[in-house]
Amino acid sequence: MQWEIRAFLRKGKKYAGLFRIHLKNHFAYIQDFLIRTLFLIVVLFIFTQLWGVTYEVTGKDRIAGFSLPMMMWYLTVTESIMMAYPPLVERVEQEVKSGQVAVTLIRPFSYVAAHFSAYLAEFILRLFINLAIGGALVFLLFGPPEMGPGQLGRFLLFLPVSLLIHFSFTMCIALFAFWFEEVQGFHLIYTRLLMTLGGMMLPLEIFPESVERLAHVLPFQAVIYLPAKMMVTEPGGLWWSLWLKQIGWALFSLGLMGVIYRRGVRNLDLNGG
Amino acid sequence: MISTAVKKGWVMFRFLWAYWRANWQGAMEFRASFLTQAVSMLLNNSVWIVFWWLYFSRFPVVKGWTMEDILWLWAIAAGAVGWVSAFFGNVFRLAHMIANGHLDLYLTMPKPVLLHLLVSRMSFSAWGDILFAWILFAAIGEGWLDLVKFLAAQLLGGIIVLGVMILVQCLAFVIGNAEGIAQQVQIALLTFTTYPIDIFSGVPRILLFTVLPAGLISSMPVTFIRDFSWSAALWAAGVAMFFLLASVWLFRKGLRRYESGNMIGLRM
Repeated sequence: MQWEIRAFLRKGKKYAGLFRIHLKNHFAYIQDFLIRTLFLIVVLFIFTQLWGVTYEVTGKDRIAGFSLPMMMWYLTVTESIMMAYPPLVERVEQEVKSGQVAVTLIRPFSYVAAHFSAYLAEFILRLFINLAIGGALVFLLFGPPEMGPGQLGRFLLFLPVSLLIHFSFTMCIALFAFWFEEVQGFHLIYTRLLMTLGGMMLPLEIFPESVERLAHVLPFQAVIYLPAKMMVTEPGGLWWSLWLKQIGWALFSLGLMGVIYRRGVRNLDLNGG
Repeated sequence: MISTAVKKGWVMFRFLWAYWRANWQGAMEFRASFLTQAVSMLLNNSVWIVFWWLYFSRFPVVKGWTMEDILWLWAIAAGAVGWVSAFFGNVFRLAHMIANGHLDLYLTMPKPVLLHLLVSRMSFSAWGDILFAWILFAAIGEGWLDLVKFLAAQLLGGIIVLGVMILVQCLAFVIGNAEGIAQQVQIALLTFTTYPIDIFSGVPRILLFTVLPAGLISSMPVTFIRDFSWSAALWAAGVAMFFLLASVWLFRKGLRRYESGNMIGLRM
């Protein structure tokens, strides 16, 4: 038992090392990350105008439980998360196409876990920059979010689980490259589902009732909507059940990724040279 | 005099046609990639229609804009950007080409440099935009008059996109690497183009009709389709011609500052 714990810790150190290396690497390109946030600023600015007009026209202080500042902070969080996801599918697809995967697979670490370390490092840095810059814009226009320590705590509980679900689903799509080589199409469909049914563009409460019901039973809301919702609203005592459901989706997606990975590796044909 | 002009025009048309045909044949060589990119663009645009459908199902009219107006907006914006990217695909890469000395080849040829540069590439995904525009038109257009107005709106919107993008990318003649700025302007221009102009007020609204004329590309043509008037049509045509002529003038001015990198390349 003691030996197993030690082996587990040793493995953990290895991936923590990979995480640190990737984080350092990305710090070298921090200017590039900053330039890319211009799109985030444009999108958030447009949303401030659109929602400003919407609240003005309806004459309501709150729409579906969201005040205008809450709506803007919600959109800041969803857009920041979405724009922080690294291009995992492109990378794995390229590795498979170029044959680089053969080299990566024989290295003394798990292929998926190594990718996760790199992914996590890039995601954290990007998210931090996005939230800082997007948040600064919304802060200037609407003031700070109406957020207590409880909301921040819940956000920090929901965010890692949502990242795990997104990474697993994205890796599943990326691993399809073992069969299809071109997998960008699948990825595009997935991201578009996140943007709509996942609640990136609108909170689910704004949807027509039937679409809202459908969105709640699908996993996409667990990736984007739930962490943002936890950050800007006070969900009451129900948040536990939502978190457990989110963990359920994480376990499901991890299981699916495991199955696809094992089958994919078995299916892989490599031409040496 | 007139016959010489007609002859010159015919020669130019044959030149353009030959390029477009060659670009199309090139795309067909990579059929799977072409279809993937075109369908991806179609899907990407459709997501925005879903967004607006969800939005308007809750707020049916906002500042005079309805779901139908948004469909017109997207049809015009996608159509305008689509034909520009399909037939003048290098317009979004000019800054890169100028900065990297890719103009040498075109300078040695007898055809107009700018036109030659622009037509020598076709964007695959642009066909997704074009198809998307026509699908929307099939859903909302009624009769020949709408068709004529739709074609005119796309043409004018496209000319403005062409003009603005050339103007911005000409910065590369002065500052060298203007790729980053050009890309950011492109993103901002295309993003603002797909939102109703009436949600903006004050300074942003003025900017969207002048510095970053996204309002002129799609929102103005939507008004032009909703409430057609000859004065509005002439004004729109005048604005489009202004941007086009200004961009050609600036490109010619800039070309005098161009420095060759003596790059050796191969065109296939």
